[in-house]
This record gives sequence, C-alpha cells and structure tokens, in this order.
Amino acid sequence: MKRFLVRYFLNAVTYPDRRRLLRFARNDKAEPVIARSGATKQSPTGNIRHRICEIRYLGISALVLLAIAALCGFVWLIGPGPARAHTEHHVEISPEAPTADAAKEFPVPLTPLPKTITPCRACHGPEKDFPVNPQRREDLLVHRNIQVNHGGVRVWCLDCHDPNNRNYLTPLSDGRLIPFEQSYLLCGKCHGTKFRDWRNGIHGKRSGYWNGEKTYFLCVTCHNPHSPRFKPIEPMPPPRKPWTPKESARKAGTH
Amino acid sequence: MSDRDDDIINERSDEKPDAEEAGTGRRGFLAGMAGLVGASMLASCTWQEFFQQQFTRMTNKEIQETVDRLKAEYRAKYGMDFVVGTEAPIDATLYAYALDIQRCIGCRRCVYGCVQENNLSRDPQIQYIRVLKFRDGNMDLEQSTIYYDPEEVPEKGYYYMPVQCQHCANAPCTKVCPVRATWTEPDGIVVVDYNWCIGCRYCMAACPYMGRWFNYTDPKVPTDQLNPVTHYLGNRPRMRNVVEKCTFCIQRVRVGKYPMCVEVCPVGARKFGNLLDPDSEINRIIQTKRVFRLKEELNTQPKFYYFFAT
Repeated sequence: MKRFLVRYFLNAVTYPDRRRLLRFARNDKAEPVIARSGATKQSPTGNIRHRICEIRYLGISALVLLAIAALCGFVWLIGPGPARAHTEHHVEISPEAPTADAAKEFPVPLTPLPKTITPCRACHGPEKDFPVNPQRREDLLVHRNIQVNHGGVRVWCLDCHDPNNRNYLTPLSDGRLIPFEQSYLLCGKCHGTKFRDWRNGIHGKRSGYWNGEKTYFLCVTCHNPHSPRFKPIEPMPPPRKPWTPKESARKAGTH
Repeated sequence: MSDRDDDIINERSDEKPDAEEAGTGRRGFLAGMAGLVGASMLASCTWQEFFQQQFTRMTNKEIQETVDRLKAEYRAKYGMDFVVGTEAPIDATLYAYALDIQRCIGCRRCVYGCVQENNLSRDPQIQYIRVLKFRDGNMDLEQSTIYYDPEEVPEKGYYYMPVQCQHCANAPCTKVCPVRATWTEPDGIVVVDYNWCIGCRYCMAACPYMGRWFNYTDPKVPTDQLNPVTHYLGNRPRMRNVVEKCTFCIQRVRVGKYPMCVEVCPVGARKFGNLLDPDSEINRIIQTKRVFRLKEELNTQPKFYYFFAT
C-alpha cells in the first residue's frame, strides 16, 4: 500500500503538466517520457496504455491529497466538540456523585425481599401506626420465624431497622437513609475491617471478570443478618481410593 | 586393534550363510515389524497429527489447521461442535492465586466444579484439586487425609487445605520434561501440549505437590456433561498416555473470567488475580494479610498463596 502511494506521488511530481501528458497520449509518440524500468514497452499500444496509467496515477494522487486535506479540515472543525461535550456531561453528573458513590462502585445483584412481609410500611406505616416498641422481648408476634442471634445482647431489631421509616435501615451519621439494596453500608458501620476487605475483594466472593466487571454479593447474600454465623453444609463425595492388590483382595474376601 | 577388526569381519562373513539359511529370517521379520508398526500408527492417528509440531513452534497457519482437525475429530467422536481456543496471553499479566484456609470449609464444591469445567475423566477418576483435612494446630502433610466424608462440614477441631497445581515460577516439572511438552507461559500458567507429550511421567515425579495426573486409559466423560468451550492448552478432551494438570482454567482466564473453582466456592475463600496489577485483590492480600506458600523451602516459588484473612 505504502509503495503504491509513493509511486502515485512520484508520478505526480515527474509529470506535473497534465496537458502535456494528454498530448503525449493522443499523439502516441514512440519515445518514452521517462525511462521506467521494464514497464515501458517499445510498442505503441503499450505506450498508450502506460500513459493512460500515468494520467490515472495523477488523478488518483490529486484525489488522495484532496481527501487528506478534507479529513484534516473536518478533524480541525470537529476536534473541540467531543471534549466540550464530555466536560458538560461531567459537570452535569457531578452534583449527584457524592450521593451515588457506593452503588456505582459495587455492582450488587438485587436480592428480592420476602413478599409476604414487605413493604414494611404496610404495617409499620403511618396509616396503621403500629406502636414502636424498642424493648427486647421473647415473643416477636408475626416475626416469630426470625431468630435474632447477632451480637448477643448488644443488638436488637431497631439497631438496624429504622424506627421512623421501616422501609429503610437505620440512617448513616449524615442522615441519609440506607435502602435494603445497600445494606453493606449498614454492616460496615460495625464490621469496618470486614467491610474494607469486602470492598477490596478479599472478604466474600466476587464473580465475573478478573480484569473487568465484577459482581459483588451483599453481606446478607451469604450471612443471614439475624443469625450471621455460616451454616454447615454437606460435602461433596470424597475421591475414590486408588486401586491396590491388597485392598481388592480384602474386599473379595480371599485375603 | 586390527586383529579385532578382522574378527568382526570374520564373524559377519560367518553369519551370512545362517541368515540365508533361515530364508527371510531377520530381515523379513524386521520388515514385517516395520510394516505392522506403520500400519498401526496410520490406524491410530492421521498423517497430520503424526507430523504435528510442538505448540510454541507452530506457525499461525499450522495452529489453524490443527484446530480445524481437532474440531472435526471431536465432532466425529462426541457428535457436538467444540470451540478449541488458542487465545494468546494477555499483555502485562502474571496470574496468581490465593486461598484463605481460615475460611475454607472443605465442602469440595471446587473439586467438582473443576471436573465439570475441565472435562476431567470420571472413570478412572481424575481430580485436579485435593482437599486435605488437618487436625487443628497440625501442619504435617503425612497426617492429613483427603478421604474424609462426614455428614456436614466444617467439622469441629479440623481445618481444610485444598492443594492443586501451584504454578511455580521455578517449576521443577517443566525442567525435567525430555521433549519440552510442558512449559510456563508468559502469563505464568504452566501448560502441557497433550499432542507433544510422550507420557514418560518425569514431570509427575518431579512435582512436589502431586499436581499432575496421568491418563492410564482413555478418559471417560459422559457426553451430556462435556464442556465444549475449550482451549488447546487447557480443557480440550485428552487422550490416553498423556499428562494433564490444572491450568487456572486457561480457557476462562485468557478471556478475562475467573477460574471455575473461584466461581463455585460458596464461602469466597478462593481469590484470583493479576500480580502485576497493584490494585488486584491478590496484591492486596499479599500486602496486607499473612500469607505462606506450600513447601517454600524447595525453592519452587509457587504463585499459589495460602492466607489468613484475619
């Protein structure tokens, strides 16, 4: 490709006079204008073809030059466009950046909450006005299936669930309510070192791409928030023992 | 000296009539054997397969031809279309692995995830990952077991340590291979070219982690459980008489995915990443946690770190 381009431009330089070239082609003169290796045959027809080629080279080279010039101009005109657009875009989103920090940083799949008891405001809302009872007690009425075994005597329901708005968890120190989808912010209030490790991908599991998009899992995906200790599970079957003559003899009973 | 030469000449001349006496004796036998060997060779493998080069010495065209041949072969054998990838290492990567032995509960999900992903033989059984069970406070490999089978794990008073290929930076297995059928890729993965392997098992003897497995018979994988997304140096179906090993799921990590054992671990004890990326989890673990490597005193320099998260 490069060689062809160079040849086009050389031709344009060596044959600057297009009219003269045309005249050569028309008159079909025997002597070649320039000694081009091998390409110029002594036969008149060959010469004509050759010169027509030269004219074509010139035309194409002019076209290429024009195209390059047009491209340069276009780039020069358009150039500042995208940059300007980018800065505007940046300015647009910057006001909401501090609020939407963690949600964008950690793509966490949504874990659906149990439909039967949500939204919490259906019972704990302003309409029903169920009384707020911060006391630690045995009978949890409709929530009897919940075993609170988290932090011993130090933690009770309203330490995590917001008494004023049960659809959210207890707010951060700046007053921002924590939705259930970002519960890791709440967990991180007490378990700071674990939260740091989770953020760095050391605690807990991440899946996806080691060099790209990763899916984080919420703390509550693995740990039941009311009873966070990991439950034992059944192991997969052990590997088969290697075959030995002694073993097989013992099994057959021959010994 | 000259006497001895004469003797040899004499012996040869003496032998001649014997051979003629036996008719087509030795020469005929040799010719017959050569024919037999040639015929069996042609029957068991194609011309192209027999003259195939080692993977790192193949040109792109040869690699493409090999991949096409393998695809056709698998298509004929298993009746499904395989992807035989030949993805090159990603620039500026050096893979490393970390495993939190405080968190591992010994459930063996990784073992079977690996078997499924890498088309490992079910019978005879090959499993790249061994999960060792130790009594608390004990680190003697001789006193560990891999055959534990309780109702539930983790068991009280025990801890678990999965062991697989450690992808050593100074890998003894690649040094002993007489034909260079195994080598370390630029991204740190120790791989085997199954078509170049002669099955001498020197590498298995050299590996101090028992990280290599030999196909004593044709590996058996149920056709409905085959994973058709493969890599030439990774999980493509193997043949008899070759050595195989963990490749960090080369078919996954070369396209950016986590290895299968990382994906299936239910407790998130397994970590994988790029050592050359200062922000990768693997680097953070090495910088901030207590880590050790198995049999470090052998100077194998594994890229497999065991760590304690707390």
